[in-house]
Amino acid sequence: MDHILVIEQVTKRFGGLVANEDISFAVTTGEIVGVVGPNGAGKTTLFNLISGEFAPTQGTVVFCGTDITAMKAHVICQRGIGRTFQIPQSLDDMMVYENVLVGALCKRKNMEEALAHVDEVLALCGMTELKTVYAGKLNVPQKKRLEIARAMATDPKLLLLDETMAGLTATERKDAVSLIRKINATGVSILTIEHNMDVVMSVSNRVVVLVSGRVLLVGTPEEVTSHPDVIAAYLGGGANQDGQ
Amino acid sequence: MQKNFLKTNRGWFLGLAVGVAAAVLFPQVVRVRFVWNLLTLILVWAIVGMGWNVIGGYCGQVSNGHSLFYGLGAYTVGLAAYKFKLSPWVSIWIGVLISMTVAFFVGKPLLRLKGHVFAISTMALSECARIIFINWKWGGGATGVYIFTKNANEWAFMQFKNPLNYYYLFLVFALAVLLLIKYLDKSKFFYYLRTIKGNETAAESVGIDTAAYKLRAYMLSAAIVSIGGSLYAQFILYIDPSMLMTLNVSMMIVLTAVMGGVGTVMGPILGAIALTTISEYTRVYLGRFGGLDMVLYGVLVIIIVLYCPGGIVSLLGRRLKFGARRGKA
Repeated sequence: MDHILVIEQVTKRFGGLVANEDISFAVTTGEIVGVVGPNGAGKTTLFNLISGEFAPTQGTVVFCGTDITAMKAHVICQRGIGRTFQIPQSLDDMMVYENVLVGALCKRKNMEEALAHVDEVLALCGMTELKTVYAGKLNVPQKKRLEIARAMATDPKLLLLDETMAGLTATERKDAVSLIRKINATGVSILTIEHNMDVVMSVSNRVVVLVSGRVLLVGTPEEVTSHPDVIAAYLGGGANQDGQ
Repeated sequence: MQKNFLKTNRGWFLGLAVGVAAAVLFPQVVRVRFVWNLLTLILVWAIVGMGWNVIGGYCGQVSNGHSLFYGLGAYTVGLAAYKFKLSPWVSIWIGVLISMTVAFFVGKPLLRLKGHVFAISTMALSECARIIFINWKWGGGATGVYIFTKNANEWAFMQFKNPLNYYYLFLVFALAVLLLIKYLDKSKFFYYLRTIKGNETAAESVGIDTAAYKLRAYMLSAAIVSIGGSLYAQFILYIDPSMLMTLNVSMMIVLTAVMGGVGTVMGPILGAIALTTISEYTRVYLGRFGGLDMVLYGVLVIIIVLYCPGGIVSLLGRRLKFGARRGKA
């Protein structure tokens, strides 16, 4: 199978703290892979390693057959990995379309072309009517959507979504899930960190479970939810035993 | 890149035409030498302010040491004329090259610093330069150099008997810089600078090489400020480190842009008009009362910054600031 992203034995240490240890898994082209795990499991660190925010202490990250381990964040973006942040990093003094425009300019020199692409992305993300609103005036769900739009404007082959659903209501979550599916339908592979198990299970083809910086399990949503180790990690070992 | 530059900014260009016509006619109506000098200085500060605005306003890297490039521009034309009898028409561009080269080598390490640390380090940088120039015997040292060239052709050496010639010449330079900034305002380059100012993490996540863009902005900024310094030296025909490379000059450069409106096309021009006018009038009318002019100057600056923190541009409404960009969408 054709792998868009291969993570091989990646370890990240911050001094004495091991945030990620010996992590290996792969994302197949066109797939949606969910990353789950309790708080502090090292999910966001893993994203930062893939997107070039930090360099791993050990291991390699291979994207589309190229080793991107030591590359800087902006180069990795130019190569086709877009990302969003857990805490939205919107450009509050700029309008929504300008936020998306800076993404669109990543692979376009011509302003007219870039602006046309902005319109397409805004339509895809359902933000057309917010085009000329300043990003600082948006609410949290809208900011999260804007993050996705900005990342999508860079024409990614792989999109890293960091807790896009956190803090959203059920209706907003539904909209976000349909947006993720729409994006995936355009041929973009997705790696998504998610806390909400319902969402992960409904949207992902496969799920990676991280616990204390290590991969506990990689499998289909059904395999993951029925695995005793996952239940133990989420509900505590005691709960697992009591349940049995 | 922008075929429709003229078309989409028709209103702005119309306003500019009116402004230029007023700037051309005003000194013909008000035939007072003091006013002519004031207008000429306004143009110098407008150029310098627009230059600082590139790195400080658009890119958000507050440099408190731009007097370095102002001084480099002034010294290059001064020493070129004094030592080598070289016309400023040539040496202005040599000054630009020198300033950009210095900006490149200094900017590479300094721009890695962020926020206040960057601001303080640039301040230290220009102070170092001032002390080096004070001790530089060949360059005139602390006493400075008069750069008047005897029996020189007025236009070839940019040394005019009629002060209005300076004004009109500087007006052309200021206009050229303004058009450059206006053109860049909606370019990929300036959008990237705004993104870096807004959020560096976000900037990198959309593929912006923040270090490279900051350096480019710093170099362009240095180049424009250098032109301003060169013109100022031609205007007063004298160079001296204690006049050109002081913290006062650096602060005045920052204030021009901040008062007018940072990160806006017209801000530095409005700031230059307000600040230079206030500073020249208070100096002339109150200068003899032992520093009262500086007190009043300070109070007026505080009042303006207090009541329009967005700069004078913000008083004119958002139209000037964002109108054209919104129109483009």
